[in-house]
Amino acid sequence: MPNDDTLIGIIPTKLGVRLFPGETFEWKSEVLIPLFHEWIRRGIPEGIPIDVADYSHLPEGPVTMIVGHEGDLICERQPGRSSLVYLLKRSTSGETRTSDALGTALERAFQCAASLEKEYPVEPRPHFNAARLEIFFNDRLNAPNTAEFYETIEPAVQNAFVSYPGLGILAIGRVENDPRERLTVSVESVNHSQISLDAL
Amino acid sequence: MSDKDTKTLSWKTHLFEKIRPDWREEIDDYEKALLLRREGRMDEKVFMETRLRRGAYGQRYDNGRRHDGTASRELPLPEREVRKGPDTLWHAPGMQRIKIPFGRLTARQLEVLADLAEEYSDGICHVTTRQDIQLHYVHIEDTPDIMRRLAAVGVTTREACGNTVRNVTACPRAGICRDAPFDVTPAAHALAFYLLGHPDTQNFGRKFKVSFSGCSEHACGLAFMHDLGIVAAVREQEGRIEEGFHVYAGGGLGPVPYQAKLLEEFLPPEELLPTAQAVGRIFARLGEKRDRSRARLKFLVDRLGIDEFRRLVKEEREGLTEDERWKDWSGAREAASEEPLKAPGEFPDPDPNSDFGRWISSNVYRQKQHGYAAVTVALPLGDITARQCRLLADIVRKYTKETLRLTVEQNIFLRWISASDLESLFHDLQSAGLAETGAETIEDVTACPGTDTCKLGIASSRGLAAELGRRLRKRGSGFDEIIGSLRIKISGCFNSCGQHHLADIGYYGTNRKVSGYSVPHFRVVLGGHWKENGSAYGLAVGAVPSRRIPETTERLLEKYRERRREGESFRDYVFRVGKTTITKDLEDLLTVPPHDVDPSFYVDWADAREFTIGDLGHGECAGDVVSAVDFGLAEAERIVFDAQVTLDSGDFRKAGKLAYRAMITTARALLRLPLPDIGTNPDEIVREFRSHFIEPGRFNLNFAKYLIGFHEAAGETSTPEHAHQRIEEAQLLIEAAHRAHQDHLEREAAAKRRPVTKGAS
Ligand code: SF4
Repeated sequence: MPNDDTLIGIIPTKLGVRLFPGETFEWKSEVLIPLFHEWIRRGIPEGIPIDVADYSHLPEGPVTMIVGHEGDLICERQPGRSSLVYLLKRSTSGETRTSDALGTALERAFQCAASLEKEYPVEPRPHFNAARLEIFFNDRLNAPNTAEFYETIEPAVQNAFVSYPGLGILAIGRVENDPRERLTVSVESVNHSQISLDAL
Repeated sequence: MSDKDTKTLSWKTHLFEKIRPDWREEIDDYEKALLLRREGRMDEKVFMETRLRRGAYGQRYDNGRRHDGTASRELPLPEREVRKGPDTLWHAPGMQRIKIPFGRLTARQLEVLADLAEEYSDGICHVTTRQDIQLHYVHIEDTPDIMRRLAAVGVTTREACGNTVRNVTACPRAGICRDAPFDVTPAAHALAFYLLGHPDTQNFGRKFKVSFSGCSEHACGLAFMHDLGIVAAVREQEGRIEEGFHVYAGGGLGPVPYQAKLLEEFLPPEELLPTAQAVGRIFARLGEKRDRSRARLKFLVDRLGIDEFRRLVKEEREGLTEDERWKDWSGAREAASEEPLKAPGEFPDPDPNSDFGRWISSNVYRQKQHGYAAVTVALPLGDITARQCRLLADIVRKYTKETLRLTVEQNIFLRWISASDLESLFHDLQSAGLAETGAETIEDVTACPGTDTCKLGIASSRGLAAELGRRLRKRGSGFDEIIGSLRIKISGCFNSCGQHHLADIGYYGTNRKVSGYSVPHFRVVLGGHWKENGSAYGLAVGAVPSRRIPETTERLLEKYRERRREGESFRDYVFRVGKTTITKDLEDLLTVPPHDVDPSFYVDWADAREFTIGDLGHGECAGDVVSAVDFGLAEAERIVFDAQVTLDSGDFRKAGKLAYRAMITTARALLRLPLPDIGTNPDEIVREFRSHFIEPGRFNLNFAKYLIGFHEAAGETSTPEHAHQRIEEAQLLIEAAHRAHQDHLEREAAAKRRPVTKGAS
């Protein structure tokens, strides 16, 4: 039984989920800009989307994003790979536990990824593999990038995935990144190397 | 202080020991102002100016409405009734401007900026045309922690916006420039920190911008477009070389650009601070306060004439009380001193057509110190990601003693690189995605935030700049040196934050109606003089549809190449051939196809919504002036709040003292009307308050008694009830002061309306 994570003392709502749309896939801002404006009209993603920001002139980092009140949806380009991030900044849904906040972020990330698979209007389209994803904590004070803190937070991460049995048994581990970066956790399915979003 | 018992840690506690006590107190006060505003206990205009003075600025859509391409819709933000300024929703994202005096940063500061960008913004640090950093999409409630984290590494956001002395800028080459007679950095440092929070700079009608330049020939400091432009100068006196400054006053861009006028031909260093202070005092006293469009110093200098302005400044200067900081710049000298990490080296001689060779020729500057180079890290549109900031911090530590500066061309300048390290530095920058070539050339397009985030933006300056940058970079090596050295600068509206007046090719956003549709356009401004401190502004020609600006740029360059006379600059060419010829050249590009033929003309760059100016908001720069009285009363309100919190925590004596301080602060606030320079001595304040307000019957005596009685008791309280009563009285005194202020304003307005009788003086 995972531990109760209400006592660990971290602000639970500042965290992100990173999904990967395929090894060679690259985002195109000229495609994302109209699509994201359309999404804002439809209230996607949940949590009060506000505007589209475009940074496609940069060699890395966010390409195009929807900035929202509760969270941002970011199509990003990191060295060697593209990804999709849902970053939960604050919550008005009353989450008081890290695992609940993480649950919200996962749900929104998966929803947006599925919509992108369907609505991305040009080839190649993104095909997300849910068998491998990352979580990061966007709060260096309350969620420091240390092995000790990772030990404390790991049960909450486990707990958040209870609602995703389709992922099978999970290998959860701390990503050994630059200590100045945010605490990042990799989550991989032990049973499957490829899981489509429909299977969740 | 300890974090031990807290479930959630706070930056306030965590950084307590790391922040200078005065800065800590300022940020705590700001946080209290947030609380008071949230509870509706602080006027929204006063709060707005309070946050602006801490750099927390508004952003597009913060009135809670946004045009989504089909209609203007209400953003469903929570608590829409809570405001952080007039028509500005509490929960709407805002911008945090971070003042970086003369653009100098350390590696640690860069790392902290990276953390802040990730945790509170959109992961990007944006370098502005005034050597600031801006974070966008910031929630107002996060701003106190942002300020604390910056303060802990020696950065204050105080006076980054609002009617204050804005960031003091200076040439990024100061101290290493081959043409400058001496390093202006210590002077810039001394003046920036002298004016910061100075009582004489708190009551301006508008912002006040200061810049330093190391020489008259180059553009780096852009002295002529500043309220106060200061240029290093030397003269020979009795066989000795003396250092000093040419000082210019009353310049500025904006819709009505003015060139600064010579205020002092040669000002000795020890006169710099008092002269700037005197200019500030004159501006505060005589500058326009009501009509904000005429409130910059340039209008005052223009109205008075530079000779009269100079006379007033000198007179004011004579009356100032000596301050030891005027002459003692030792702290500034120490803080501004720099040295290399490595020994000087040999400059490489790469193939000019290689990436490294191109980078060397466009991004590397030979310092006056033999064997050292300075390198421009070109940032597309002034943006750098959080990860790149960290990588750059590592690079800076590897090659220098953290000697880096932001530039007004929205780049980063690394100084004191040993020439033999250039190749290895190039590769390190390359792997961080920071080795873009073409710095400070035609490819390096400057743009203000425009419609991306600015409330006043009309057209997408950044979208256009990104598009032009992409196209020009593709052509990059195809330009000859003359074309390559031209500058393109873009503003999203006539306010000129992109400095388009100073560019060879400048554009600013405007709107045109075509068959009932709005169409984004850019007005073309040609031949601005970037060199010699931005010594001349460009010539405005027609407005071109935004979609056709890339073609317009091509056409302008092509014609220049065709018609240019030997050695003729772009500016000379533009003024020789004239507006009529150039307009004719562009004639076919001015047309807009009908909406059903080409709808792309009706959509702005990097956008997909049909163009509208319906999202235009009110600039916070152009809000009402919040007077020194309003500020003083808001401060008193904050102290009463503190008194109540202190009483609740059980310390009634301290609470009583705070209530007393609130009363004295209230009286002092009102006294700023007749006595702008009133000091802080309570006896003097009470004495003057009696003679200016109580005796002439200008303050309700019932409330005035609270002040007099408590002053006689020296602010002492004997029981918690007693303290509680004094807190209540302090609150009532503040209310009465607001009424007295209102009466004063009404009397003043009535006096202005009264017809002047002949012979009256
Ligand atoms: S020039 Fe206009 S659009 Fe650009 S930042 Fe200034 S006010 Fe905003």
